[in-house]
Amino acid sequence: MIGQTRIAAAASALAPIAALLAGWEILTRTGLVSTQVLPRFSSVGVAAVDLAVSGTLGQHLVVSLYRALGGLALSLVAGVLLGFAMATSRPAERFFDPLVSLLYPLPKTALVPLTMVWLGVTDKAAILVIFLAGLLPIVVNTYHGVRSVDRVLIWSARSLGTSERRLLRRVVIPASLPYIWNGLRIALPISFIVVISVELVASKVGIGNLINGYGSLGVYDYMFATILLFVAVAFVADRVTVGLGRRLLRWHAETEAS
Amino acid sequence: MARIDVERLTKTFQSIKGETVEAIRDVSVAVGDNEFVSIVGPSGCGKSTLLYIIAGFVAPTAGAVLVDGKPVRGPGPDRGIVFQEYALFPWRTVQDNIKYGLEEKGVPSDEMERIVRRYVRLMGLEGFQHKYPKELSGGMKQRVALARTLAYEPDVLLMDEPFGALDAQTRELQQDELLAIWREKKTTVLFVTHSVEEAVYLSEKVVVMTARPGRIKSIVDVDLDRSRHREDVVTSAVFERLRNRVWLDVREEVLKHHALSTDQFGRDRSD
Repeated sequence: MIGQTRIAAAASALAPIAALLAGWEILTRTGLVSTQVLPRFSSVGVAAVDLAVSGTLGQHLVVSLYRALGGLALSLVAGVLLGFAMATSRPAERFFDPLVSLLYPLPKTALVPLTMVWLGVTDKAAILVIFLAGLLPIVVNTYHGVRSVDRVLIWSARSLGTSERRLLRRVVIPASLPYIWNGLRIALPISFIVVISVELVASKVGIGNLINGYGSLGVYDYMFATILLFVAVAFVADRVTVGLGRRLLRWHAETEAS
Repeated sequence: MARIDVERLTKTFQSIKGETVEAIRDVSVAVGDNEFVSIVGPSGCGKSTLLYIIAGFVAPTAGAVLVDGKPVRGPGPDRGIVFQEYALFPWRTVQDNIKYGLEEKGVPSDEMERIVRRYVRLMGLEGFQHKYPKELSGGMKQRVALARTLAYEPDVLLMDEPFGALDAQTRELQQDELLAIWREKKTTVLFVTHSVEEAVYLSEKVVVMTARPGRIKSIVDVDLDRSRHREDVVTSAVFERLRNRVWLDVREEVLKHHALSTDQFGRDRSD
């Protein structure tokens, strides 16, 4: 029974995607849309296989993932520390809050020209931009997580013998983990989006650079194939994050759903 | 010497609008060793505030709380607390919740396992040791919360409407379990509730508080034969008389509070 419903659910999720791809193939094959403008899905598929088998994809993917996940790791470390500091210390909150508010509406990719001047066309420049883009969701979520720790949990721990000093480790950190994880889940796709944006303009390698290269040469089937393969990687990364969160935070009510 | 001595406690605080609100005024109560005392009063009378001051979570504006003659300066393991909202650590399983206080105390792990097993059995939690709080019913959660507090063996048990969120049937079962535990462990209990029935059924002494600012209105000694079954106790004439006595005292305060917060047309002025 459960197997059947799962198959049905997967089928109903795949149906719209299959319809889109079929429509794509029909439009291009019948000539309604010129393959000059949009390559056939089938030729994109062939290109995708070639990209994967020849190792071209892997070579660029490694660079993009290194940058995206490197930047994300930095945002996680700095974001959690900053979030905790802001939530637990009034002076820290007063100091960082205006900075965070200022950084919030700024499109982080607008900083790419500046980082190029500072750090050149390097991994470091890309990682810096990704770090800034991922930082805010993690800071904001960590802050809310720490702030929303129920006072009765703190009180219970205190009356069960936990000292003021140990509250952070014993109660506040575990209680805010689901929020931090949620911040991470929001920051992950942002890091994937930003890495491509950065590589489109300021990189000699990486998936963004590959897409740009195929685009300017007019090799659209390979360009589309690169995009689709990257989408697949990003999708898998998100599912892995969700699955991992559900396993690690099994105790948390909200991880049950979605 | 009383176990808990509350001496002329007053607590005022600033409301969000900036007004000074007096939650309790000049409250003095003594709770004897092994005594079971309940506090009842209209909602907002400051009975929970009083309990939080005794627990050491909230500092009084004036007055003092002494436990075994020593002034309270903050929360401490000599006073165990049970909240209405259970306050279990959601990231810990049932048995790890019960273990929490023992870990803080530095109890050796084999000893800890033994204590946990005893409380799991005492509270009827067999088979649920490895469940997380979110997987439990309200009644079950409250049993875990009680086990967590009792396992630490506090001298005094402070309970803040612990059965307030439970349905009537579960509530009665929990009351009887609490009485059994109290009789067996001989601890001192201070129990806050808004249910007159519950207060009279459970305690040896009921403290009635006035509407805000909360003061002591009356203290009623409850002399019930607790060796009998629940149905015999609650249908007895003594129970009826005591319940009515406390109920009238509380009702007077509820009406007073109501009159204060409504105008001459009976409209609500409280907001």
